[in-house]
Order: sequence, then C-alpha cells, then structure tokens
Amino acid sequence: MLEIKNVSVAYGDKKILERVSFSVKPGETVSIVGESGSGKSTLLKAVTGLLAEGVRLCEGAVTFEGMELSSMEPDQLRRLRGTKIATVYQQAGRSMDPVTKIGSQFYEALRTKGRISRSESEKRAIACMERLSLKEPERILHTYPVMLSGGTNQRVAIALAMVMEPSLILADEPTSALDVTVQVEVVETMKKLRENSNASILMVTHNMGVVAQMSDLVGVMYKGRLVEWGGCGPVLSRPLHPYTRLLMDSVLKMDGSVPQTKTRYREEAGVGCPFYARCPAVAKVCGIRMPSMREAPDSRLVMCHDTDRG
Amino acid sequence: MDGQAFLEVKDLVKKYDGITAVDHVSFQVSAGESVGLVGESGCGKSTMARMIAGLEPPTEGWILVNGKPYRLQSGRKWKNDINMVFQDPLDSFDSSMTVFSSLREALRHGRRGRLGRGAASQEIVRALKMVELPGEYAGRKVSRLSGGECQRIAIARALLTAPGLLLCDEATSALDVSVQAQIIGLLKRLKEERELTYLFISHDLALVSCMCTRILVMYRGRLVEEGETNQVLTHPAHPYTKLLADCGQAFMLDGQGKASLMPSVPQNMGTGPGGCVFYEFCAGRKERCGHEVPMMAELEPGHWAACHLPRESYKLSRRKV
Repeated sequence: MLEIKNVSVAYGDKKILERVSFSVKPGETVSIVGESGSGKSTLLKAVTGLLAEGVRLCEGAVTFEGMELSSMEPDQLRRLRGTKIATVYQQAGRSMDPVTKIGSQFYEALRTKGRISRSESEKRAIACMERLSLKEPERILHTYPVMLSGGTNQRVAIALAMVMEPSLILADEPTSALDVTVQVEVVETMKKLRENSNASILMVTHNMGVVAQMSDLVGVMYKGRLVEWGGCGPVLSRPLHPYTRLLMDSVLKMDGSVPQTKTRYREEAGVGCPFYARCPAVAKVCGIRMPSMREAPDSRLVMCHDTDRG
Repeated sequence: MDGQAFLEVKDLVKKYDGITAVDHVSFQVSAGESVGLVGESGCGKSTMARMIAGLEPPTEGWILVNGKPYRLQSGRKWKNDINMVFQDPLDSFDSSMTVFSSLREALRHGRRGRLGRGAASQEIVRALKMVELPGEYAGRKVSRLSGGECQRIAIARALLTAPGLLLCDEATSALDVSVQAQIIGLLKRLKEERELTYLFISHDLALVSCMCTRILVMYRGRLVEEGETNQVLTHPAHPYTKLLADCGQAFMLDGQGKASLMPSVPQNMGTGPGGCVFYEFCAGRKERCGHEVPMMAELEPGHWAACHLPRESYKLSRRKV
C-alpha cells in the first residue's frame, strides 16, 4: 500500500534520513518511535511531500498504491493529500482554520472529493463523529475550533481525517501536549478509527504507551536510520537493538522504580554504527563498519553487528 | 508533621482578573523530603510554583520558609533558600551567553555576593562536575548545548547558591525519555549527596512515583488529595486522583509489551450551584457535593482527601498498581 524504499533526505549536505525502507500494508497501524532529531517527523513529511524549504529527497522512492509520490507534480500530490492521504497533527486545533465552523470544515473537506450538498455533508460528519463516540456532534458542527478544548479538537481532527475515507492516515504525535485523561480519550478515538475504517495508519510518537495501545508494527529510528522493525509486542517487550533497549529501559513505570539505564559516552567514530557513541556493548567492528539490516527472531529486522554475529 | 517544616504554604490564593487559579491551598514540605505536586494543565500547579519561587505575589495567604514569612520585596534573600528548574531548558537561559557567564550571573545573586573571577570559576567548575559535565563546558555557548546538557546546566545553576529546596516545574517533560532517565538519576544522586529538598511539579504520575515520597494532587485550583506516594497511587481516595491513576496506568506496559485496558473518562454531567470542584465529572456525586465544598480530611495517618463520599467507598475502589 505504502512503500518507502531506501529513502534518504538531506538538508544541504546533512543527511536527516538515511536509506530508510519499510512498507505499510492495508489496514495496518505502524508506529515510528525515536528521540527528537531522529528523523521521524521528517519521514512523515517525506511521505506527504511537505518537506521544508531546502530539505530534499535525495535518494529512494515513496510509493503509494502503485504511484510514485516522490516524482509527482505538487498539484497532483495536493489532491492526493486531500482525498487519499489524511493527516492528524500534534496540535490539530492549530491546523484547522480558527474562524471557520467545524461543520464548514467538514463541508470543505468533503467537497474536494466531489459534489455534495451541505446537509449531506453534515449527515456524514455526524455519522463519523458518532462512530468515534464524540458527544453532541450536532453542537460541535456549529462551533469554531477555538471554542473547543485541545482534546476535542484532536478528536474532531481524527473525524475530519476519517470522513474522507482515505486509504492512509498519517498521525504526527497525535496525543502529545495533552493531559493524560485527554490522551486516553484521543487514543480511544484513534482505536475506534482503526475499527471503523480500512485505512492504514502511520503514526509518529514518543509515547510507548500509545504505541502499545494501538500498533501492529513498530519502527525504531535513531539518527535518521531505521534500527529496528518488528511486531509491536516483541519490539517493546524484548527489544534487540541496544538503542531500543535503552529506550525501553528509560520508560518510567508507576511503581516507583527508578529507570536503570546504561549509556556510555565515547568519541563518535564518524564511520560505523550510528549508535556507536552511546552503545553499552560495542565491538571493534562497530566503529569501522556500518551494520546492515538483518533478520532476527520473530520476523524482526535489526541493524546491529551483535545480531549479525549472533 | 512533627517539627518545623522547611516550606509551609498556608491558605494560598491567587486570582487573575477574577479567575481563581489557586484556591486556599495549604501544605508543608519538611527538610529532606521529596514532594510531588500533580494535576492537569490549568489546575494551578505552575502558579503555585511561581508563587513559591517568589516570581509572583499571592493574592492571599502565606508562604513560610523555615517558619519565616516570605514577602516579595525580600526576593533576593529568598533566592538562596529556593531555586527553580524550569521546563524548557533553553528558554530559561540567555542563549547568547556562555555557560560560564550564565552561571556567574547566578552566583552574583547568591548569598555569597561578589566573587573574584578565579573563585567564581572554581565554583562553576565544581558545579559542572556535580551535574556530571566536564569543566570545559564553561566556555560553551548555551545555544550549542543539547536539551539534556542544558537542563544539567540549569540544575547546576540552581544549586550554585546552595538552596535548601529545589523546585522543579516539569523539569524533565521536554526531554527525550532516555535523557529524562539520566536527569532522574542525577537528581536522585544529588539529593542523597546534598540533602536537598525537592518539590516536583509535574503532570506525570510515573515521574512523581519514582522521585517523590509524598504526593499532592490539585484539581481546578484546589488541593484534593495528599499522602504518601504509594498509598495515594494504589489507594486513591479522591475520584479525580483515581481517574488520573487509571489513565496513567493505561499507558504502562506489561511484560509482553501490551498496554492495559483503557479506563472510561467521565463526561461532563453538568455543573452544580457550587461545591466540589470535581462535581461535573464525578460518577459517585451526591446532592451535597453540588453545594458544599469538601474540606481536606485525614483518612489514614498522613493521607488526606477533600471529598464528601464516605470513607468506605474508597476501600471498595482499592486498586493495585
């Protein structure tokens, strides 16, 4: 459905993404995790063709339903974004026009797909919000985004994405910046979206709890590279790449335990593994040669010399 | 609480243009304690922090440090007793300054007054060592530091004047989890070494559970529950605390990398004529809750909650974390 093949993105000479490859099958939910600066947001932008000024795709291809997005005209791409690919941003309230009523936003969105009457659009918007368990959809249609709370805006944005019946929904940190009770509601809405729509979801987040709640597959990024890829349960409970292990060991628990993480700081090797400087278990080869993506147990892919050796 | 508290907050009120951000909040922090103040955004916890740090005057009420009342006019003296680490590491510095000049500035306002360059430099290198950074960081521009390094410098700056209490307002929430884990380790170590007192302001129950021995829960400007961390998280007495704990728990992973069941978040059931701040969302609300403000009552030694519901119902809601 969506295939990302050997994608590299650069800003000037600096590579932000390096040879990232993975694919998303129809109906799958894939989460990409990693720290800030790991390139996970850039990855989403590369899919939508919304890379910032000066940032360019310099290698590889993004293919969506057989069409190569990377070589598409901006106009064509924009039409695709409106109809087949929908996006939910971190602060969705801000990505909506603050002075247009929610009802009109649904109408605008649906109109890009074809002729539709105002009442028909309203009917579909309400049906959509009801399926996502949003309370009082009629009232929401007649309010402005600024009058709604951050959480409600986020859930309306999910409804707006769903009403288009896209085949791919991109979500960029959909629950960050929200209170935990609101996060629960937004995740609940995302889960409803999964049940009620055939769309694939590609989500970027740093919240492992959110990942565990709704993903089929997880990709872990570090310094612009995909270092681990596999089923959600296996990756989160038995991480193989030392960076994924560090990430999972750092996640706080509510039982009062203090995270015990081991990191080492050594001089960057410049060549070799991107995690070399922080890896607790390096071998000689790690500072010399870049590890390749290898298949590991439970159909996982790991980019580490250690799994190479094992 | 026995003996004199290091920090005592008494009936604190803060109003902005008629909106009450903090509504009659009282609590104490003993020397050497780690206390967490939690609640959702807008509950008044940051306003509390700003008042305690002396950045804003309270509308009503008292803040006492070592039994002495604090007034804003004597802010300079205060600075030695309480220092603050803010959420955004970069924002709390002048990014054009070097680490050295930022820290020297803090030193200048400290209790020891002016120091010569040599002495200041010694102090600064010592402070950097304390936060596990090499002395050469003194010469670096603040804008060139990573978020984690910057937060370490902020901690060094706060500790330079040897304060009794370190006030951390969401000090790790802007950091990546692996960096957050390191900062937590650092703060834990510093506390033991320097007998610090911490007041942690955060929305993250997991963070508070690993840093704090006691927890204060705020909701819409009011303190609704207070007690030993483990007690409050495993046996929450106030329905809001229970909701908060359940929601936090929903994002915790089990051994299989699976998350827990999602709790149902209550919907607004309409306001009452006054009374409890949680009335609109409380599933177990009684008629009385709508018009009578519940006062803090001690349920078990050290465990307080402001809720009208009978104590028995808390026992039913006992939960394991």
